[in-house]
Amino acid sequence: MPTNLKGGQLFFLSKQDVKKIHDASLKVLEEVGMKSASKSITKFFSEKGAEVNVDTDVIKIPESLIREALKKAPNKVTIYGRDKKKAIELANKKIYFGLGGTPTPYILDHKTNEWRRPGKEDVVNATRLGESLFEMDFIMTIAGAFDVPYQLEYIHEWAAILNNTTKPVVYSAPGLFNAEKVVQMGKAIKGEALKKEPPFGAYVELASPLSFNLQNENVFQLAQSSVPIVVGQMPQLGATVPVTFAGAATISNAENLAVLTFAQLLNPGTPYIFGAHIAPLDMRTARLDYGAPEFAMGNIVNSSLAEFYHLPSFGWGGCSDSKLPDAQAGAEVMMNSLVAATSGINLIHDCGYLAAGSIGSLEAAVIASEIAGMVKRIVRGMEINEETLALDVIRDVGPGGQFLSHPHTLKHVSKLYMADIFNKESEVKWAKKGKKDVRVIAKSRVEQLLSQPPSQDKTLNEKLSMIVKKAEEEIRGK
Amino acid sequence: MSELEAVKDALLGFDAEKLAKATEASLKKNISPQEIMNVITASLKLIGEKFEKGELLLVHLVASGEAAKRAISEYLEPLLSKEGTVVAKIGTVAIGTVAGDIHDIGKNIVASMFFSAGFKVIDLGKDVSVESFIKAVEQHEPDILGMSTLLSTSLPIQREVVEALNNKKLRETVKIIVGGAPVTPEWAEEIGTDGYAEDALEAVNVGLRLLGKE
Repeated sequence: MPTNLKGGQLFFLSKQDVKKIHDASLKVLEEVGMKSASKSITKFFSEKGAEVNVDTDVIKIPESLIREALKKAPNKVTIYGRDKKKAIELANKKIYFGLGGTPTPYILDHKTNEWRRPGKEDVVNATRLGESLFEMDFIMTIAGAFDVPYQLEYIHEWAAILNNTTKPVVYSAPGLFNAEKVVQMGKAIKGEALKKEPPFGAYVELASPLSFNLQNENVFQLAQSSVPIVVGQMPQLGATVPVTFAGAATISNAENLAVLTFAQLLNPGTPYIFGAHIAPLDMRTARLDYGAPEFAMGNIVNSSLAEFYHLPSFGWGGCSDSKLPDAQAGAEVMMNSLVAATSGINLIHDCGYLAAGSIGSLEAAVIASEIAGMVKRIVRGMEINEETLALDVIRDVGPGGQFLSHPHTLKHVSKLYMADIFNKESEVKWAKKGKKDVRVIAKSRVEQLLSQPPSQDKTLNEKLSMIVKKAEEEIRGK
Repeated sequence: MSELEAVKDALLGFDAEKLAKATEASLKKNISPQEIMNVITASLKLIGEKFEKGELLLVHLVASGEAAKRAISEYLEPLLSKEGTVVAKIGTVAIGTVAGDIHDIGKNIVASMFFSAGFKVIDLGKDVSVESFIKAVEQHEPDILGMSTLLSTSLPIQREVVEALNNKKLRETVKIIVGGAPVTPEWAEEIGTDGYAEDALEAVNVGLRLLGKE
C-alpha cells in the first residue's frame, strides 16, 4: 500500500518569486502565444475567445480565460489503479514514486548485460517488476513495444501495462486514436466509474517552446472522459527555453497554463497534474542531462508553481545519465529522488531510466526502489514528543546502561529503515558469500520478483485484447 | 591587429556584430572576399576541433556558426556571386525532422554542425512529409539527405522516404543519414540508408566519410 508520506521540506522559491514567474507566463501567453500544429486546437481556442492568428497558427490566451480555468481545476486528484486499496492521492505534497516513464528505445538485458531493442514482452516484465517493488507506487515503463506495428505501439503498451499491474498507472496516449482506445480500456476496467475512480492518468507532452502538436489533440478525448492529464513537456535549458531557470520556468509554466486552460474549457473540473521536465542540454554532447543537478532542481520549480496554483504536481527521480547501474547512477538517482521528494512532488517518475531515458533497466529499477525507500525514510522525518524524548526510559536505564533490551526500543524499532538489497554485513561475511556487488544482488532480485505469479485478471485481459484487436483492424482498414 | 586577424578574433569570440564589422572593414581594405572566406572557414574548423576536445561548448559552436552565416550571406556571397565565383563548399546537405514529429532541436544542432564544417545546408524544418523530402531532393540535388526523429511512432517515415526515393529512381543520387533517439544502426541498415549517426558530431563525420572527404 502507498505510504502517503508528505514531502516538501525543501524550499528555494519565495511566494514573490513564484508570483514573478506567474506574471511573466501570463505576459508570454498574451503577447507571444502558443503555436499550434493542430487546426482543431486553434479553432477550439478561437471559439472560446482566445486571439488566434489563422495565418501563423498562433494562439494568444488572455488572462481572464486562464483565471477561470484555474478556478475549475481540482486541487486534489486521486488515481485508483485496478486495486482501489493502492490508490494514490495527489495533493498536499504527498510523494509517490513511479517506475519508468514513456517508452525507452533500449533495454539493458539483465541476463546478457547487453542493451537491445525491447519488445512487448519486456513491457510486461517491466510492469510485473513494478507491481512487485514495494516502493513503486505507480507504473509507467522502462521498455517499449518495438515488435508491434508502430501505429499500435502505445495501444499494445497500455494493454501490457494494465494487464499486469493493479497499481495506479500513468502512461502516454499521444493523438486522438490512442486516447480513444485508452478511454475504452479505462471503461473496461472501471465501467461507468471511470470518471469517479480513474485507474490511470494520461501523460501529455507539448513540444517546447510554446507549441501544441497534433499529438496534443488527445486532450479533447481525455478531458471529455475526465481522465487525469499529467503534463510533462521537456524544456531544455539553453536550447528550447532560456538557459536561466527563471526564463525556463516562465515558458514551462505558460505551457502548463495553456494545456490547463484547454482542458478546463473542454470539460470544467478535468483532473490536471502540473508538470514539465526542465533539463539542461549537455553542452558538450548535445544530450539531455538527466543526472544534472539542474534536472533535479527542476522539481522545485514544478512543486512551487503547483503549490501556487493549488494543483497536484508531476516530477522525476530515480533516473541517471549513466549507461549502467553503477556508482554514477547511484549518486544521480539518490540526488534527484531526494530533491524530488523533499520538494513535495506528488508523482515522482522515471525510476529505472538510464542513459537519459534511452535505456530502461530492471536492475536499475530495483536499486532505485531501494533508494526511494531511503528517501521516504528521510522525508518521514522525526517526531518530538514525550514518548519519543523518552526521558523516563533514560532515567530507567541510567548512565552506562544499555537500551537494546528496553521495551521502548522494541516498541519503536520499526521506525528505523531496513535495507532491502544494500549490503550491511561485515566485510568478512560479505567476502565469504562471494563478494557480491549490488548489481549482482539486484539481478537476482529481478529474477526472484519475475518468478512470482502475475497480477492478471482473465476477464479484463480478454476485454483489453479485444480493444487491441479492434485497433489493429482499424489500422489495417486505413 | 590586421583586418583579417580581426575577422578571426571576432569569430573566436563568437561575436556576430564584431565579425560583420571586421568583414566590412576587410572589404574596404580591398581584401578579396575569397580570402576572408578562407579565414572564416579556417576559424570555424579550429572551433570545431576545440569543441571535439571538450574545450568549447555546443553554444559556442552554434554562435560562431550563426555569426559566420550572417557575414557570409550579407557581405561575401553577394560579391562572390557578382564575380561569378561559386562559394566553395564541401557538399550540400538537405535535412529535416520527419512527419509527425516537431522535436527539431537535435536536427537544428546537426544542421549547424554541418554548416560549420563547410557544407551548404538546406534546412527543411520539422514535421516534413515524404513528398517534401522528395521535392527537396529533386530541387536542390543535395549530396546528403539527413532525417531525424525523436518519436518511435515517426520512425517508419524514414523508411517511407527511402522507398519513395527508390520509386522515383532518385535513391542513387543522394547519400542518406538518419538519426534521433529511437534510431539504431540496425534500423539505418534495415531501411536501406547509407549511414547512422548517434550524435551531431558523428553526423558530420559520417557525411564526410560518405563523400570521401574525411
